[in-house]
Amino acid sequence: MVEPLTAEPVVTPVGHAEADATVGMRAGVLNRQLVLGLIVVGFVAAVGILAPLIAPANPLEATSAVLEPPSATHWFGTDRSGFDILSRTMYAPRVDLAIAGSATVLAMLAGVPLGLLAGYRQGFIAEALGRASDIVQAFPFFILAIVLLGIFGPSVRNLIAVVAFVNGPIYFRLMRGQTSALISRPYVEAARVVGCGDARIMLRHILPNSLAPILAQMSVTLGMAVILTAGVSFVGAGVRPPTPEWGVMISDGAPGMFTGQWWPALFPGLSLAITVMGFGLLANGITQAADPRSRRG
Amino acid sequence: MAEALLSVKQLTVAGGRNPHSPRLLRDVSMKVSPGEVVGIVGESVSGKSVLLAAILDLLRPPAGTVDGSVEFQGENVLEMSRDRLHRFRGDDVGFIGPNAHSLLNPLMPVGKQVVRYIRAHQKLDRHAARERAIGMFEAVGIPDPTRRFDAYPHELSGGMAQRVSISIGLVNRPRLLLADEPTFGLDVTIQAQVLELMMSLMREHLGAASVVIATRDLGIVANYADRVVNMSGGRVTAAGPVHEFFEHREPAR
Amino acid sequence: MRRYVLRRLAFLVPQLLAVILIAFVIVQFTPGNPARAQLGSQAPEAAVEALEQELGLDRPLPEQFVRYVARVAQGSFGVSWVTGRPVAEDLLQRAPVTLQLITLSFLVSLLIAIPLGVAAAFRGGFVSRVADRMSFVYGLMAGSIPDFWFALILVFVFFSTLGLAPSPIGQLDLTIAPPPTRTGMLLVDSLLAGHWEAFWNHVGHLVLPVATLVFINAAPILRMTRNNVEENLRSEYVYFARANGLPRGDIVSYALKNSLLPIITLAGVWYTILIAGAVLTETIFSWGGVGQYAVQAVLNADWSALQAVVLLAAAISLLVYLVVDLLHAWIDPRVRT
Repeated sequence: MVEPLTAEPVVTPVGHAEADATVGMRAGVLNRQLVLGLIVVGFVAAVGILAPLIAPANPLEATSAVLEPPSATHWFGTDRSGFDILSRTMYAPRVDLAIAGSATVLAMLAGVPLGLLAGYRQGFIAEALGRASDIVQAFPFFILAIVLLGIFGPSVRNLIAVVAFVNGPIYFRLMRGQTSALISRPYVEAARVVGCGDARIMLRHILPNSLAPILAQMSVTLGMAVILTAGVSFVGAGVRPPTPEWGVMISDGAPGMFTGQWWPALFPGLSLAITVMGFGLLANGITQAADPRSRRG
Repeated sequence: MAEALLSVKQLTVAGGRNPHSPRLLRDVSMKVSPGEVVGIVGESVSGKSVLLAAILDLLRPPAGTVDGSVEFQGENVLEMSRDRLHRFRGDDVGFIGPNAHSLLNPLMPVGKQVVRYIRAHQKLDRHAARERAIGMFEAVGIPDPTRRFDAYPHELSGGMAQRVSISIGLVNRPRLLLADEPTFGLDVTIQAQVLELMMSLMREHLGAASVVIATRDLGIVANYADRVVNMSGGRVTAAGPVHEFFEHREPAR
Repeated sequence: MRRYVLRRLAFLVPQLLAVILIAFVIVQFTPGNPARAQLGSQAPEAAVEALEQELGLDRPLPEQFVRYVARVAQGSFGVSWVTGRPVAEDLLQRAPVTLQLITLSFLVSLLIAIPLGVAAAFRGGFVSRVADRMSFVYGLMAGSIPDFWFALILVFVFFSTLGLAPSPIGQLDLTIAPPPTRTGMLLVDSLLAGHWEAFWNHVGHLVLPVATLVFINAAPILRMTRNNVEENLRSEYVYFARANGLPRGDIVSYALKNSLLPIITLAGVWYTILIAGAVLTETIFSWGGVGQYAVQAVLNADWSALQAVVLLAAAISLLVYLVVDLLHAWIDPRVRT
């Protein structure tokens, strides 16, 4: 297919060739965003994991050096209780990424199989699930999250469950859409004709070809989950102080922003933003890697 | 031999500005004489559509570079001013493409769209243009043209939509018609009607039909073309009168 | 068209009922006794029992639900034990405040994002390419930066450091008398009363919260606009139009109209997202709207208030979707079938 590299189209009379864009991911298709995303996310995860070894101070040790600006001893300064901000910032990924990771996996485990079934057998149950998923998605997710946490109590376990619940419908929708689209593809029909069982078709043909969008969505969800966790904790309905977590730290440092002490809230927020940006780049990178028709060739 | 209506000389089109861009057209030359029907055949990637686009000078900004010339009645299309180009397209040369529904603006009634094309090229007021559009609908065989004037594209069948796009291509009485797979996606029975319609309309207006048809369908070429140009990979691989073409064709690869 | 409108309106009633049902169900999950929750832990046992009777807590659930619907229809949402006032009153006071903030931010986002998106899509030349690159980076940032942090940064830069913004507490300086309440929206009320000082002071206070919301929310609009316009410029009907010599102005208007269509659909979604965004922003700026109220309700286990807020948010969402659907059907004839 002649695809001129311009915004001026050339009409291809036979329509668009059936390029199966979702045939897994090609090894070695590394693009800039993918690499950058991996580096950022990897770095943050590494910092979190190695924190006990490399953090300069105990994140929970209150000192008398209260609200000191960044200096040689405290690179990121100290907060209201005298905690060393750098150490706390380094420990925070442990909490945020763990929560985000568990929630994402849970959301996937719930949403993907249900979506697969719903797309495959489009019966009454599929419709009902679809409506339910729509309703959950209709509520602005932050409000839903704090309401649920308010009801069930702000524990880490509940937090994970709530974040997973809010994100589950996304995977349901995604998988259902993928399955519906792939079901009509020639090779799936061929498999059916040959006599492959439904389960086999689902596992062998549909799942692998949906791998890329699911992975990309996972990365997006991870980013969203981190922000959601931080936001909920900022308000006081999630992780509680003095646990080092980015949202908690920002909340703690908030009054300082009004009075000129910028460091307690700036650094955690910056780390948060960079982490989520990493997830975003990763998601873009995955999508581009899987699409043979990617723009930047 | 009569002076060529359209003369393409050594046309080379590159897909981008840097020297390594793929060549969409390589050194293509062809001619269309008045009253001639030329069929351009080749597989989908052969460059047929690119050639038609190049003739209308639709490729350049911001696309690649174009070398060579395209002469219409002696004038080089590629050097035309913007105003002249706008009159050239639609007025001197009409264009029809495949998948008629995708050629029309889905948000506007079809009659109104035709009127826009009329008023873009002729100084007619709204009423006169409307009359002309309805007249054109009749000429292309759209039943109940006054009512259909207000229809939206999605309310029309494939054949009907194609007739509308033919109206657009021919309403301004172009001297040359470029047709890119005009019958693609249409019912076989309707295909013949549409082609017949195109040819007869042009003959009616100008006494002769000068048409360039790009197609993969050799049947169309056999039935309507006077000459054939075979393209592959952006190059012209063979050209000649239609009967020669069918006698000496190489077996399909 | 008329038939579509009627059909769509008919859907509204069951949707509202479903929403009320959900709000009702949610509260069933709340721990403890709703009557006690409403009166507070200090209230005497007799009062709690009386309220229980009144609320019909001893009746079977379906009957409770019917009673609840009846109460909602009358506009009675219980009493907030935090403020001590009927929730309906609280909401009546706070809802216009939030609506003003959201609507303003939404309009500003559209005004900024759509022209930028269109400009970025018309490739051709250095400027568009720069706009393209910039909008990519902006999109990435806006999706990663949490709104509450961004608000704090704005406060720090423009208030603490530069001293340009007024004190980020509330809608008005404390020293200025608010205008008489007509609509509940300060912008409108101060205009109606001719209180210019209050008006401009309020505008000053609006800058930072609106900037926060716009920064975060303009990004997806920008990206969507740009993608749509780009896609439409590459479409076959544009090609056909160019090939047959349609003037450039006509072609641009065709492309724009078709591009803006999906944006209208999404406008509804974005508006409701703003509702969520307002929650944190209101909290930081002590704005006194529904968002801040909701957070307080959650933190203080004020279930009556929370239930009402959820209902209100959902009802507004429904209404917004309805308006958007109708608008869409008006513009796109294909939807009306």
